[in-house]
Amino acid sequence: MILAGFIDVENSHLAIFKQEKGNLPAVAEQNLPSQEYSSLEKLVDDFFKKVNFKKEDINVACFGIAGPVVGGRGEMANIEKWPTITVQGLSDFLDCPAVDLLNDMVAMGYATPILPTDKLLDLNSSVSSQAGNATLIAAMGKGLGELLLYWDHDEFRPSPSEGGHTNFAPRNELEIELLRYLLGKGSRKVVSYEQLLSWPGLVNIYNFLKESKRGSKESSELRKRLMSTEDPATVITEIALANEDALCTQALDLFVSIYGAVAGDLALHYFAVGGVYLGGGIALEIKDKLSDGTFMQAFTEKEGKFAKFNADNMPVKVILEPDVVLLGAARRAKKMVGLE
Amino acid sequence: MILAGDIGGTKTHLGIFKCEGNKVISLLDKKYESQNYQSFGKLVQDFVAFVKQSSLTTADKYIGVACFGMAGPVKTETDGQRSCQMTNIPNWPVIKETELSQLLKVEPVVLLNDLEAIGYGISQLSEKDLVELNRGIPQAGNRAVIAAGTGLGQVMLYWDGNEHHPSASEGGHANFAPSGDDELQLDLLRYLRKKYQGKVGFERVLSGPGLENIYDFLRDSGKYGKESAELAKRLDNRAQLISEMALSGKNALCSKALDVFVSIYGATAGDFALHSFAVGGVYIGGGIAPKILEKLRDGTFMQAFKAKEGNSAQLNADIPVNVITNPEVGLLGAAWRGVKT
Repeated sequence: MILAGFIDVENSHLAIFKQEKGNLPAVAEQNLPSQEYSSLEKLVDDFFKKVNFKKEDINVACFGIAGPVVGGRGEMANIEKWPTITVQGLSDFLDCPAVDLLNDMVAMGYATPILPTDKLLDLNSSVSSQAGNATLIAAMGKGLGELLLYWDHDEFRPSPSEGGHTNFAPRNELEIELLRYLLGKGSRKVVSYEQLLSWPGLVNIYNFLKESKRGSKESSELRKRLMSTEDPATVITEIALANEDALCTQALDLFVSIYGAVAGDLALHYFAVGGVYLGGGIALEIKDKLSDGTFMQAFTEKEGKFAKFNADNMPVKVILEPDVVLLGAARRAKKMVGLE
Repeated sequence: MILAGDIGGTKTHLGIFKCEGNKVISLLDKKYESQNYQSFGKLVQDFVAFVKQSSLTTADKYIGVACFGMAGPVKTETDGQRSCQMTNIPNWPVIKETELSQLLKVEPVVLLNDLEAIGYGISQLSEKDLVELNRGIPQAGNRAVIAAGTGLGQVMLYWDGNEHHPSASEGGHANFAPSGDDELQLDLLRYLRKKYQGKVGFERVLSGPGLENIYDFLRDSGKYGKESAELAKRLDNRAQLISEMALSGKNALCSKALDVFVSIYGATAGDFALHSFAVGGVYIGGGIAPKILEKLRDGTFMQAFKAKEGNSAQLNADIPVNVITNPEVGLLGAAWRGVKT
């Protein structure tokens, strides 16, 4: 049997798959609250109990984790009490030699190229993918993940990126003011895309539009709602998608436009004629907004002939599969035992 | 033997190479003025004739493969063949692998983008071809090349655990991201938005014409001193003069322009390193870097390279950064790519 997991800060999603070729549904799966365990091993142990499987059933395992993985060692980005996760430790615990540990973006990269078309929303449908690199850009809860899928003329190879931490490139006077606003907050010397394209980033954009008076006035009703929630980004998004408040709509519009601009830059950096994929929870939540034209306008707003270059060569697709990290970890596991 | 070439908008450098172990060795080479020929085919036929008349042995004259790095976008057609339209020689017909193959009676012929050729050339360099800007901690992993010259070229080198594979990039046309401790680069962006209808890519600041743009912005702002009489008279190749006057310390305006240029160069190289996760090293190529070496080494470049948020500052501080001083890196790379067919 194959054990695969997406280990996230709040919730972890584990599943067991049959050791067979193809896209088979899981034979067992469970969501578990990560913070209630003291280590990944404890979490996996509890998973086995809940789904009535044993370690001995597992022949190969792979986990995608929300944190960096270097040389077989991974650190969960926001669970400090967990010890370092190691391939060796997991291998000993499962008594199984075939174990791998991936960053969640890398895991996503294993599943993305084989997603069926009904799990993708096409934003540039006149363009079909060419043989060449692809890229993933995922605005997630707290961060902005990027990944290169290097095309080796036979298959895609995930190659990690830290591009979410590159400098924000403002495109107009409004965005220059946004950059100045964020530089003025705290002791920041640089403003990266992650400070804009994440849930806290959306709140940054909202606050900028409000405080600079570049956006509409904040209604007292909205102020109350935002004061009483722990998750202002979700509130702003819901209201914007329902078109109930001008300021929220402006904030989400600017968010989506910056998302399009950076995705267009990434397409140029990686020469991603194989496809630009938008992943992560935020893209999924705002998929209707992503397809209203704002994103693609920014994606193709490049200098000289590169406007047309991006429009005519880059397939752009939103990933609609919520379990893409889990499926990627499972695919990696299948590759490890020669099933792919 | 390998016929290799570095095909530029102004100059073309062709050579015959042999391979020993992991290195290519030049047997014969010649430089040409590209614009003196009506087509690339005619130019390369001239060289083949030159090789035939040379004193090379019959065995050394036998060309088994040809590979060219082109200053222009290389497209892959649906049949897998590659073709290229040279960027600055519009009167040359489109260059196609199949047509060159028939003309030269050589199979295979491989066309590469000039930056890809530099990417292949990295493995052919030795210590004497490099000047270190940051020692860092060398690791096995991806590499990145950024090269400001006539334009801004980038290429990343994907590490497959065994060797590096150059992967083309058009990141030089991504949106310019101003940085720095003051608002100078924000004003530069505002200035260039007016000049370029609102769209400003990195190449508008990181190239010969880019240095001129930075200079013009500083001059027009009136805050950084007066334009020298010599520069005011100069109409073409001002970038060369600006960098010379900056390095000699003769003109404050030029010095400031080069300082801003190098700071943006560092910040952009640092961003490309993050995009590429280039823990295997960053290489500064192109025609400008070897001319401004002392300025690149004064700390401005690396300070901007490392000025990233959070952990990314340390990630970049650990990356080895080197300037490529061998102008033949592209030719060597084309030859090495020829070996690998």
